[in-house]
Amino acid sequence: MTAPEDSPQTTGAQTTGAQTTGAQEDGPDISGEQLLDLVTRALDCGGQGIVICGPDGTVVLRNAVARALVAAGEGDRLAEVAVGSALTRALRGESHVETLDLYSPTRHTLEIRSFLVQGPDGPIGAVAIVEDVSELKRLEAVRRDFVANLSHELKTPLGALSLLAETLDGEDDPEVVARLTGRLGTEARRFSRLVDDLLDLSRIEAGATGALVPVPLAGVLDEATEGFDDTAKARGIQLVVERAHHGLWVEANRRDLASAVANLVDNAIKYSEPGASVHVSAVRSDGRACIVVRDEGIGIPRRDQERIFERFYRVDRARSRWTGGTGLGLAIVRHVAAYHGGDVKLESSEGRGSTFTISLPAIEPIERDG
Amino acid sequence: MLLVRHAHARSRKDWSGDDRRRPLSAQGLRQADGLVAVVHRLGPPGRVFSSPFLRCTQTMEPLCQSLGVDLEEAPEVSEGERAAAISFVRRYAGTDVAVCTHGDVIAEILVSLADEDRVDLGPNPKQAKSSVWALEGSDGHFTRATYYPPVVSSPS
Repeated sequence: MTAPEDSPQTTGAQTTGAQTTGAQEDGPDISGEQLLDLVTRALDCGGQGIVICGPDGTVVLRNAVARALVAAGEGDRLAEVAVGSALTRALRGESHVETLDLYSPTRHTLEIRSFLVQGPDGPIGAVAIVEDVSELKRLEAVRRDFVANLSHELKTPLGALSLLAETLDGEDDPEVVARLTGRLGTEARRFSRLVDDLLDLSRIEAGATGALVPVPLAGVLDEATEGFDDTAKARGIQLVVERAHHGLWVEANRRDLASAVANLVDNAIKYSEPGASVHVSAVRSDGRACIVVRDEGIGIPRRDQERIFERFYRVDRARSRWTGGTGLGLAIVRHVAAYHGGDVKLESSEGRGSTFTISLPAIEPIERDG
Repeated sequence: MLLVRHAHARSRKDWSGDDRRRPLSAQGLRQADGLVAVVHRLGPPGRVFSSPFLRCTQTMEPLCQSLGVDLEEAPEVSEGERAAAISFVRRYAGTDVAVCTHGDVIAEILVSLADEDRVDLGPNPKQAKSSVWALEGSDGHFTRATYYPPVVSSPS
């Protein structure tokens, strides 16, 4: 933040001197007008709006970014007024930072900073630097929400543990004790899964994912579906893993990719009714290698489909608690797909089922494995 | 809505009969008397529900007498209930009722409120015997839960 903050101001101050000396002696032959044009355009390169005024407050220079930011629409009088008053304050010797929420033409947030410009014999003007910080503000809000959500998500299983433990205190019926300790175990596991998922998510976000190596998708599917046969059988669900496309290879962190697919399979089983089947397959589509997990379960309402990959977003919080979901599974799947150079897509209709497709760049098979 | 955990009951070891008929201990009967003042201070309910277990109905007996209302048995909040208890409580969200139930049921209800309605239960939620959780909300949802410990404490 320091560098872009300081450089235009310094450049601006030096320009005054450069016009007389630098242009004639060191630089190429360039007129004062050309130099001013060059400097003004150069100031646009940083993406910051620059407005400079003389000692009496009259604006003498405004770069293109400033014109775009400050005078973008009719509703932006506000921005113009704010920049004007920021310059006035700077001339009075008050360095000033202000953020301005604007709603026209679209919702955005500007940050305006202003500084007094000193010449050799005292102040010679002031500069205001205007930046669109909407994206920064949005990310800050996302982070704040995440921390608030996270605190709540951590507190809930801990509260459950505390309440259940108190119930257990003094209880001497073996049946009740067994039931309550079972519930305590469930809540403790839920808490530990939440922590595991959080660590996974932060490891992936930090880019600590290790090198990607060529792996056959058939192997990934085997690893991902291993151990689900019993779970599926217990719920009366038929788990079908199609291994027809053996020639499909991708560059992957095998453990992460397999655990992402396992996550989708786990969800598919949890959100299906007995008698339904879950299909897992690998297919080639438009030169990409796709892992498809299809269920005939309850499906996801249209309004939730966009948000389902967000952290802690759940379609049905009660059901998620019964099934032991952490609310992070699909966020992890999306991150894993992304760092493999791919994405994950969802097709779903309520009451008919969901299909999740992880699509990755396909590579040439290292060896024939069929 | 006031969610009441039943008062201290006689030990299971010293009771050979049906656990559903296990009565309150002498201490528990005092707690049930103490509950009347707590509930009146929080605002007297129009209806009083209770798990059919004797230790619950006995807990609410002095309260019903002081209010002059009949106790209504609610098997939905019997010991070991989960989903039925949660939907029962949601059905009466925002109404002036008191419900007496068991520790395991209260835990499930409160966790459901924390999880689904994002109600804050505070840093270390408790539920001593004959304590009260005051639940505020409306239309099947809750917004606030406040704990009131018993005025007559349970023997340790």
